[in-house]
Amino acid sequence: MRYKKILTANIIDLQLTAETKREALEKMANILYRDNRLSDRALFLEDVYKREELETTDMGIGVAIPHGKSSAVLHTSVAIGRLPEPVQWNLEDTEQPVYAIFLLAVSLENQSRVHLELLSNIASLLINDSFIADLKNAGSEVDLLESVQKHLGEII
Amino acid sequence: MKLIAVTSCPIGMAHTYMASAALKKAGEKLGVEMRVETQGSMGIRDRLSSKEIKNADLLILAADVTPLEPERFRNKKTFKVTTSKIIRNANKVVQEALDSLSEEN
Repeated sequence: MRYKKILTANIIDLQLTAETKREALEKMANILYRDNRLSDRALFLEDVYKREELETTDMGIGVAIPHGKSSAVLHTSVAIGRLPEPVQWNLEDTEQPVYAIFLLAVSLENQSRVHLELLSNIASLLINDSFIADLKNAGSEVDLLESVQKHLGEII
Repeated sequence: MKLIAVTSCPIGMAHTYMASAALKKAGEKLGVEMRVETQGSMGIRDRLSSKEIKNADLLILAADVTPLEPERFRNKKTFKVTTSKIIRNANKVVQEALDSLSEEN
């Protein structure tokens, strides 16, 4: 199987449109599927929803980090979606709506420590004000990828 | 003031590391020393030494799942909180932790 970097401009979408969390997650799973990173969309989404049930992944800062460790994942990846129209993540909560989604897809088999470390560093980026400014203002998918690399170094 | 913290979450992918980053940032902002150990998908990272544990004024325990090797923290003054609360407002959590210390004295 050809090796894939965990993040490329291909799996970033700055114009994600969705009315609900479910629709947003489905579209993002599609992005990963189209890039040949998932073997089974439905199974992957099921694993993501399972994690969601444990506790919401809405971080309360306008960003959600849904994640699934799943046998349906071929390549450990992080897809990034930015929503011009934010969505309410959980119907009952009063948190600010979610304008960006970082969907982490972790392979059960090809889990390297380096990848896990990179994913954890990407999660930490969301606490970094300068990255958040880039996330909000990036004009293109490549710009956002470059910001991630500026903060974390080369993505492998 | 020296604070130590442990963060963990069910899958150990996101909350653990975001809470750790948020605590460090809050520590800097509030001018307190902050050492954070993460217990996530990579196991224990940035492990707290027994000396660091001994010298700390307080442990912030943000363990959404049962912490690993909890015996290290026996008898340590502990402030319990969730990782979500820290991610939402770490400054407030650290301030509350500090307040809990002064209330006791």
